[in-house]
Amino acid sequence: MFVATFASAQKKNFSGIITDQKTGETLVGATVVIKVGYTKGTTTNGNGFFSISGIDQQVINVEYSFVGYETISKTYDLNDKSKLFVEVRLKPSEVLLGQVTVVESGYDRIGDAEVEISQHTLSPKSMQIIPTARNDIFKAVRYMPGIESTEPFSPLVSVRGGDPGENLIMLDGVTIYNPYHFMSSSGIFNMQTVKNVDIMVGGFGAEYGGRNSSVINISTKDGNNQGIHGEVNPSTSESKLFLEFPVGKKSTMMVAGRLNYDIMGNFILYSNNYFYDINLSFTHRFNSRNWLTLKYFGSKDKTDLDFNNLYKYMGNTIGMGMEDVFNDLSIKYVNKWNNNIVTGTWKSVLTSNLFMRAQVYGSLHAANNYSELVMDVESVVFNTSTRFKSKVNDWSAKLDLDYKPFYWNELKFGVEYNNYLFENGSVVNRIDNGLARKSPTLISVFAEDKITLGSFLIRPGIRATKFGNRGFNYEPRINAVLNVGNGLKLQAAWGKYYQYIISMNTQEIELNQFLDYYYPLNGKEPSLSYHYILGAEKKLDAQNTLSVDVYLKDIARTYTFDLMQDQYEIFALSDKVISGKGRSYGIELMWKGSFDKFSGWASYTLAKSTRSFPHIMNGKDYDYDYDRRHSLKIVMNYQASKRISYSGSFIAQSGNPRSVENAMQMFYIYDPLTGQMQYSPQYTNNLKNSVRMPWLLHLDLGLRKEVVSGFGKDISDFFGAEESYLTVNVYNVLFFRRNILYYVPIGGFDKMIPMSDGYYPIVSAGYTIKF
Amino acid sequence: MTILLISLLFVGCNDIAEYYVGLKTQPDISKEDIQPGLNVYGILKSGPSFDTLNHYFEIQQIKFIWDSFDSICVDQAEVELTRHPFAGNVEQYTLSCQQNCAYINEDIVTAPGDCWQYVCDYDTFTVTASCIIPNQPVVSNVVVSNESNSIELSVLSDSTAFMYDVYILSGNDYYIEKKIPTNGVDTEFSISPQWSVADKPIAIFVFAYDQNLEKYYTTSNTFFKPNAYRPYFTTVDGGFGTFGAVSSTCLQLGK
Repeated sequence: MFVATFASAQKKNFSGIITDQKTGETLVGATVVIKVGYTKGTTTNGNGFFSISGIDQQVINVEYSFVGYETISKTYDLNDKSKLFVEVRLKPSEVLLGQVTVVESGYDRIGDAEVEISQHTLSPKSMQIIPTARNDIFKAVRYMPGIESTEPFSPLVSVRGGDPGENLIMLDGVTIYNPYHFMSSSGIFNMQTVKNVDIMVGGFGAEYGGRNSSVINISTKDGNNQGIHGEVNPSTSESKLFLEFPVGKKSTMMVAGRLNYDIMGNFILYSNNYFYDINLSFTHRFNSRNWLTLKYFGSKDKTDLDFNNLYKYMGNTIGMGMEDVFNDLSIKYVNKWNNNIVTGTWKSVLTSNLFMRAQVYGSLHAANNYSELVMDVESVVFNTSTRFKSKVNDWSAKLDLDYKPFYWNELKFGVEYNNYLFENGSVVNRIDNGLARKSPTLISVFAEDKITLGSFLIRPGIRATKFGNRGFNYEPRINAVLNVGNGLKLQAAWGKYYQYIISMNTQEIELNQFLDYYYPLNGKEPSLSYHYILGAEKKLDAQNTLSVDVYLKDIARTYTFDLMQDQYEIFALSDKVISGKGRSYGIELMWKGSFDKFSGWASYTLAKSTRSFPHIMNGKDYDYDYDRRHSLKIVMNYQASKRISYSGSFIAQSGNPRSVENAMQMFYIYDPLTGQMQYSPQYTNNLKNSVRMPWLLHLDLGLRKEVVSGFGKDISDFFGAEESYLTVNVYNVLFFRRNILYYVPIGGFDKMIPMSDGYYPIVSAGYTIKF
Repeated sequence: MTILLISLLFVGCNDIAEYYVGLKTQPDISKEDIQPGLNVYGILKSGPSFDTLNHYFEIQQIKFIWDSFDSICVDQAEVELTRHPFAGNVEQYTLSCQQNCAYINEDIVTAPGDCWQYVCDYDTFTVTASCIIPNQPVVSNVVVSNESNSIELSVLSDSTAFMYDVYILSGNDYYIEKKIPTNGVDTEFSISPQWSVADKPIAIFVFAYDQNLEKYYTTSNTFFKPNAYRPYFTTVDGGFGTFGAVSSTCLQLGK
């Protein structure tokens, strides 16, 4: 070890930061190659930092490249110590007619691109070609293999058959709770502020933990240090503003805001629905090696929707008018939730091969959601309601170190401390179950070592976690990659994952579960799963890639809430937590790339997910709520000309399994004071998820056109804008093909009423100015 | 397929709007999947009320969802109750069906603290259950405030009571509130009815429910949304439904 260290001391380390010449933003995943007789290369990490060790040449030629940017080469004399650490600025390349730039098929993954398996990266440009998700991360991610929507209208996603509460969502390294907006079921992140989105759907390394299914890491911009730039985007339902600008010579700032207003709801339903979000970012660069970033994020949602006479929209679906069946069918939502995040991050290049990132943050979330269903059929009335309250305060500090002692070796270490406050309350059918309050802490320590042995890479790692007063739990992980040659790469991953904070599954009680209601597992063993993944990736050519992943998730311990248990123990939500197990497995095929003027991706997944709990069918295995057997997704962009592009997104999926009612049991409502009896027929089923819903088909189309003349151009010229464009989207093109989401049972009739959420197509138009 | 989809886009007929591309519009459910059985309701009451009977018993069947509900009542069952009083001899009662599936026996006597057993036989089904009549609730600290138009009261802690209903009655006006008590803690009610409480005679009834009925009422009426897992609800053995007891007390305020 001493000899190796002494020998390596004679060799030099070369490191630096790569940024965008136009904006000053760090570039993540850019490639750095030193040609020294043999080739040594690396990519920039999540902070735009790179380091190459063990260089024995005095003069080196270095090539810097990144998709969408011009490749440059520079020569350095390493005898000059100032050249051991460099700051490199890459210039964005011009868009040429016919050149497809929308999907960066050769886009290197960030995080640890070389060894990560089951990872997807979505750039803002990629997301913009999805009409439904043109500016929304959580709609865009559903077009990735392995990521599926859950309930109608809900923004929650299930990853590889996992629970929505098993997804770790981070904004600039801050864990964010329920980052969703109600209206349009979208995410709370203004796309104009987003730099990159990393999604790891399984087999992630020891650096990340606390969740069993996935990690979605969103990094936002720090601000443009070259001048004032921005975007203004009014549309029929939403207005957005984005500004980034330098502050003095060493600082930058980014300000963004968005306000969504429900005009249709306000006029038709007399509701007052809105949401807004605000992003503020301030970055100060002390020098090229040290910089400090302060960020604030805030969002608020308020919804008050009362759908009276909903049955009138259901048409003639059982051969008779719904007015002949219903006296009333009404649904009501009153939802309020908010997020507030403050964070400060210090990044420092301590030495040429040691990078440090220190962060403190507060992530605060509160929600209060009420829903009500009234159904009146032939004088029999259901009137049920729920209210769920949730509060999370997460105050945390963490420190990460990246160390490259040798060229073939990269070490990562980190420690994190979380101080939590959780409050959970529920009112079910007007019975208040009180409020539960818990304040646990979590300590996490991780270490991982990436070792390169020629064309073989391996990254073992370990994560140790201590929750509350419990002892440490250990989570070993390992990733391996073999570059076979001819663009073919074989990958494998295995890992053990613990989760201490779960989500209350309210999807069978709430009319729609829009949010996760976080609940800490004080006094209980944590959730536990094991990931086994094999994959292969083949570069067909410079633009096209084909990949396949085969995965197995052994869910050794998972939890569900039996919220309809006896309500007597009003402060004992913990008594309603039931332990079970499950399994998810599947195969995912994906093509992404471009040909001619087309660019996009397509994927097919065949998967199965099951669970078993002792209180459900006596512990028998059943298809999990979010099981999707087949899933075909296609996203395509056609660059018709330099100014006009057309886009489309298509999904064809198996339906979810559901517990369709098959029996009627009368519920007796007896008044002990008067001796009067009333009846409420309850539609029941003893078999969980026994019926598979029909296939879902969904097609959206979009058009984007740069404005070069007329009133739109006059407006953009007035603001001195670089460009302005129009977007027109048509959602739910296949509206005649109703996607059945529920079967509504009606007593006394020999049919059920199929309910859908897409009765009509929706056309939206927007205008954007960029300057 | 493309031509079919495009043609569907441009046809505006209402019948065509219900056309599903070759897929079923009804779920695959079968009568063989249901679990047949008796759905019973039984309640014993002790204490004051407006009812002339101190019990109510009814028996129905579980039905397939698409069957007619005309034959849901069971009027040929054999229903036996056994009373194990807190003090005294064991007594047995046979109930007979009078009308609308209701079974009665006018000789039944109830008292707090008594333990009761229920047996119902019909066809191949035998349902059994037991309950204990809760203690009579004790009400204290009753305050009627004309200024705030409110009534406050406390119900003393009692380990035999798992849920309370409070009825406030005044003339033709009434108010009902339900609460789940916390074990070992007095249950506080603060009631602000829509009608005025000033200078009026008021009757307050408090009903204490046993654990069977608390579980039945708080976990069974659960049709929150379609197609959610909702197994048959029961607190009895050999069937479905509930058998439980309530005990009541009454306060008269004002003239």
